[in-house]
Amino acid sequence: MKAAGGSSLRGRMARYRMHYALMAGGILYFIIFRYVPMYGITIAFKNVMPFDGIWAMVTAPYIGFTHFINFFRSYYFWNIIGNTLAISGLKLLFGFPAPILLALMLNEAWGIRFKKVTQTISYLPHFISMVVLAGLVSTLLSTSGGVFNEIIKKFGGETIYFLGEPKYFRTILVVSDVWKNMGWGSIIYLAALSGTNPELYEAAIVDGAGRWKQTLYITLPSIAYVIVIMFIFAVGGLLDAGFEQILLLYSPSVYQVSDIIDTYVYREGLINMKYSFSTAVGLFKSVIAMTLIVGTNALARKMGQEGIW
Amino acid sequence: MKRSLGTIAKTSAVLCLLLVVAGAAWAKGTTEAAKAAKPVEIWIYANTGTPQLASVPASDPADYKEIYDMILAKTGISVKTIIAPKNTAEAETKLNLLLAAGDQIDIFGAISDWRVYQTAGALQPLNDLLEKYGKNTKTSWLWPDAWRTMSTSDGTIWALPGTPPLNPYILYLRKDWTDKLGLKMPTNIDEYEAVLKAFKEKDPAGNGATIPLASGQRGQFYLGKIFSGGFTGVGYGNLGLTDWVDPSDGKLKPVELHPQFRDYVAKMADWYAKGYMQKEILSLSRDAHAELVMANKVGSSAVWYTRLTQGITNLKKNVPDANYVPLQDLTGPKGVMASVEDMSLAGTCIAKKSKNPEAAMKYIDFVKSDIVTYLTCCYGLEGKSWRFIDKNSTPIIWEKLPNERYIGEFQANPSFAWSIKFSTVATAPSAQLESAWVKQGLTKLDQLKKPSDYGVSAMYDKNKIMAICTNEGDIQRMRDEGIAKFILGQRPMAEYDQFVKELYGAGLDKWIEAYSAEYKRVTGK
Repeated sequence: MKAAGGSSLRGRMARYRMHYALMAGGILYFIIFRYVPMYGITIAFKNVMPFDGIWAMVTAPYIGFTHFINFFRSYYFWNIIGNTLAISGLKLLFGFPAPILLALMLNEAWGIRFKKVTQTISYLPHFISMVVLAGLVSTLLSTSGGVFNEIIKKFGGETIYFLGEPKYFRTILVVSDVWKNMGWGSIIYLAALSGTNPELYEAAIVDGAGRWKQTLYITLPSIAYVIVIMFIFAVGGLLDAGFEQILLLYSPSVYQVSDIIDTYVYREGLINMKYSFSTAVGLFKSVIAMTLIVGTNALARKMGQEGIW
Repeated sequence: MKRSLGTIAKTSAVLCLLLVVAGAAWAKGTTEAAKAAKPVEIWIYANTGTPQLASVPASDPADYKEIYDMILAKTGISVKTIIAPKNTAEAETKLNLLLAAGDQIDIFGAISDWRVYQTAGALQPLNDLLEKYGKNTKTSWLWPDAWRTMSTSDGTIWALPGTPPLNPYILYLRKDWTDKLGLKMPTNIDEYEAVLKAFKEKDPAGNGATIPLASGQRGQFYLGKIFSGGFTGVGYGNLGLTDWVDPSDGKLKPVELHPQFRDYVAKMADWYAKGYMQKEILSLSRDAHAELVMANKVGSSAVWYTRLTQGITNLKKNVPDANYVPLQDLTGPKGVMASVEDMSLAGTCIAKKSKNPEAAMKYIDFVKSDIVTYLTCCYGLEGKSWRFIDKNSTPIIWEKLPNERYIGEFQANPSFAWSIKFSTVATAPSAQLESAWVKQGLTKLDQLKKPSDYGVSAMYDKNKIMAICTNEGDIQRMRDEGIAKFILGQRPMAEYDQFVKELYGAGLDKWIEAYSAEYKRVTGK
């Protein structure tokens, strides 16, 4: 039997008009607030004065890839790309598995009360703003009364200016980032773990599997799809090395290991008001991020995982 | 299901329609009513002056309204205010975003350099406005050179000055500690170094807590301002303008290339290595510095003259004999060490997109119409936030009352020309120290070292510089980073020549070409 309204696009739209009416608000939202502003990326190919208004975005003449070329030729281009990838890579290396491990450990915890208290405590740092976190880190590592330096002094050592030493700076960034985000990041894995069929564990126990084998062959495979999706997202954000955290903690003596794309864009774009230039750098970053997402997704699918599309 | 979906969709559509119709009708009514009675409205972005020093986030609403009403009644202008974040970078970022987004801001402070906003096309030219509505602003300002500093070379004025050349960078020393250790007040760098050594070794604070030399917020810059002139013989320029004229070729170069600047850097590195300096001296925050002062740990401090005072009141509660004195006229191999703060490029601006630039200038001028109005807009209501002690003396003696009912949102154009018209009764130790410096040394500039391009650096055309030197930001980063690493001992002084080579590798030739051309254009030399 032919469905009412026919099978043509018009017919289908007529048939599902109420669904479309409900969707309209959401679609409009995305068009107005997400897609129309994308016109702004054209200023990456123009020289637009920041305060000439929206019309200047249209009328300014195209200057091609000048801003991109200036960025690629800038003296610190490779330094900031290297820093961005190094800091992001370290955060991915240590920060990505940390919530998975925490979720697995919480999953193995016996006492429900202990589990809940631990979970709550682990979420708390997520709600601390980055400004407060930076204040905490500075205070803890201070050379005048900071806990770590006081301990060093107690053992007869010399105080260390941790935040001013290039060799410590990235470690501080990664550790504080893992501490802040580990608990909150574990929620999604705990949710995935709760969906694991208990019969699988019962069968494994009958087969003589211990806790470790159960984790290895039941728990991890059952949350693998979530891990893959989260990993794809994390790789997509590889060029987001944590702008706010770095801006609040860095100083000239550690620029060499901490100046990233975003801090560079901040200085050149927002402070020196080269909006076209900073849009070009932002666009470059987005293209790389998109490439990484597509690449990782393709890789995941090739390895038999679902991916995000 | 289909039916219920349809009902929801229809109901939503009808509700949306009703909302739009009702909103339009309301808007029409209010617009028509408002047209008849609405006063001219201007918005101030309060990012300079007293609001930035307040420890409470906003004024008491009743006092704020009373001042707002007074201004409205006297000028017919409805002045609205936006309080900027305390952090300078955050305040600047917010301002730039508000301006770029087209939000209504009429008056704002260019905190470091008005030329950044002028180059970006954000400013209103002020010549005509000043001529028509700025009588008080023009007549009260006592330093005529400042107008040139606030202008482009075609004579267009883009900002209103707030600060003249000053002597605000002070090396404070704990005299009670030198007395305790039997040391005389140092007059030159060697004697000062001996004091630092004594502080380090004899530890007057006890428990190894003594910090012979500290600084706060912009340590690297403050050290340059306070010490480098004694080595180079020329003044250390304002922030971002630390350059000098090389007499061998007449070109303007970064001060890092001065033959004796490395001696200054070597001295700082030596002090750092010997533990005379607080380890975080180049990046210590203002608050952290104040805490160290308060904790009775700091022997001497190289700071902006009001920075030290923040910790002193609390220090005095615990250590009543604590006594910081400014070390004036300390000399080095090339004479007096301290450098003058050149005419500031900070100024009050009217936004290009201001809907009411005339009202903005009228309001700025109104604030300076008389002392009571100025004090009210800056410090609050007479009798509630402050009171006169002697209205007839010169300067007028007044007193801030011990509350923070009002933080100064309506200040608009903080002006040193007005600050010197009144003097406070300094009762708190912090106020006494500040007040003493304002009277003794703040405007005494004769002895100070002056930069090679003193008085003219503000007139360099940023656009012309950027056209020749496209990566000034990279070079600035290298300069900051390089000197910091030498001082902190992360790079040996033996590599200073290599550092200079790296600067050239980053495009210093273009930098020198661009700045020298501007120096020549402005001075004719």
